[in-house]
Amino acid sequence: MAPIRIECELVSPLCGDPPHLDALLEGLAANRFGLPALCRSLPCPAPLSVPIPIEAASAPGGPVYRTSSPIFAATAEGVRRLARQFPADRPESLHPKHRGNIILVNGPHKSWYLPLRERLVPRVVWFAVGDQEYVTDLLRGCFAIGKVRGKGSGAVARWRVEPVTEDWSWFAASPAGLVLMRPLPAGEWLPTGLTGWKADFGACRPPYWHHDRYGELVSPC
Amino acid sequence: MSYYHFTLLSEAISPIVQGAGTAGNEQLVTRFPVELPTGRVEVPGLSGNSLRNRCLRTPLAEHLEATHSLTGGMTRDLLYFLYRGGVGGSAPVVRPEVRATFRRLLPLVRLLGGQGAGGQMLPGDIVVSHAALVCRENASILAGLLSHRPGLYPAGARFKSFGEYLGGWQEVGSDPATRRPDSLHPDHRGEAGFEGMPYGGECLVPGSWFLHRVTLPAEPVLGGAVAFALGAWQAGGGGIGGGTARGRGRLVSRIHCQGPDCEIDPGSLIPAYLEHTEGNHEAVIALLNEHYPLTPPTRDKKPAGRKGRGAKAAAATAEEVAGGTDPD
Repeated sequence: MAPIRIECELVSPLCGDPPHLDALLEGLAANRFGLPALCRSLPCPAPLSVPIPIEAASAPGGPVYRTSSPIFAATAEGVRRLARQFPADRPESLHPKHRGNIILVNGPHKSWYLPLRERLVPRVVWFAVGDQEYVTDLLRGCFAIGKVRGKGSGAVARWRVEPVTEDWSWFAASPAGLVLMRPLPAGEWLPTGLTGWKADFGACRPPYWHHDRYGELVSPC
Repeated sequence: MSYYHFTLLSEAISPIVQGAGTAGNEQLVTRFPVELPTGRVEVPGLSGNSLRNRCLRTPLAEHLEATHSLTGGMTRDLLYFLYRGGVGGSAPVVRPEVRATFRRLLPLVRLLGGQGAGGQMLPGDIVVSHAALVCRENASILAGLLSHRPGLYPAGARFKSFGEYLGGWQEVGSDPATRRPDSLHPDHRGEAGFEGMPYGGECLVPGSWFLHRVTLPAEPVLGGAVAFALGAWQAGGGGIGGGTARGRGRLVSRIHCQGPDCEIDPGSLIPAYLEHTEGNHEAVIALLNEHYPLTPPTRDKKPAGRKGRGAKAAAATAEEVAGGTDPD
């Protein structure tokens, strides 16, 4: 395991936020090994239960992967809309009992014109400590990131994984002091003089959306 | 896990009008922002959502309907589920077995996902890109979309600017009553009709080219489903965007399929899909009947529960209404 820099080039606007690298790799590894999908109603698995080629270090509450949060800058922002309407042009497909009036303004068959915030993000970068080859191999199976990936948003042109000399996965040195690079559990264990952080409540281990992972933490700002 | 990459090079043979907003009276075509060294431009294109529906979901749903003889026998929820992905509130419980069965039996669901069988979220495995207009401003995007198939375009190809492909259309609406007053009932002849109301918008002119990509797990049944759907879409005119019934929005596509190891003839995958669909006919019918019954299952009605002091009185009244307690 060595410090690496992962860069993702995008060819279409990104919907939502880019994922945490450890969560993305866990998802790709779980797909590869045929592990069942997680959902909110199932209990959260133990940390590190899906093997990924990223180093984990101990922290209060359990190990945390050595990956930074996604680093990106949006050059433009807009709204895309997803439309959906009941297929009312196919009445002959319906059973005669179901050919009555269909309400399209509310209820289960309501038409949508859903606004989604999209940002033009040319590239996303993560820093990590991991196995360059295995990370490259796993990321080859990721063709889009963010929300509404199946409908053209956040399409990936290419992944680049390259070695770097310094480890910037958790903290990065700056003239103002150490800068926080990812969410970490809050507490006195954090280095003194840490800058670029805010107190937060959420998860710092994948799956980030699972409420069993939530706790007091510090996150970059 | 390995993947099939379907790359489509599509040529417009009639004006393409996929609208997104208006400017005054003019309808604008869908655009995507592109960052260039000289600044940001909004380049026309086709949305992945529209392509999924026109090229994949509709042909696959039509095939499913025909194969399983569902025409004239579907419920509203089933029709909505097959042709639009369905919706109907969130399910109170997650039923992994139901999700797995839908995904196993119906390639349409495995590819495009949806929300069905009482609100179960069924994830789809396909990734459909937006269609990028082949133009100078999109050069880096085209290279990115072709990263898995670099030789498809000749190196150093020179493209025109997107402005060269933008055109316009205009139609004039009129009320037939103004031209055929004799056809009207005498009581209605006094009403003034309208004539000569022009309306129009932007379009991408015939001769424009688009590049789009479809990525899916490398399983012959799924690859066959995509190849079948794209073939059916092309056979049906290759319609996209608005005004297809009036001759607009026709695309002629060249379909390339890159497999895990080599290029594959898309047609060679179709038999696996057809065999799967026909081989599971009984199971699909049973599954759809179970989750989309024509007549909702009857439920035993519970007497209205009442708590507190009125409960006993209500129970006694209910017994009286029902004809008293059974002496046996």
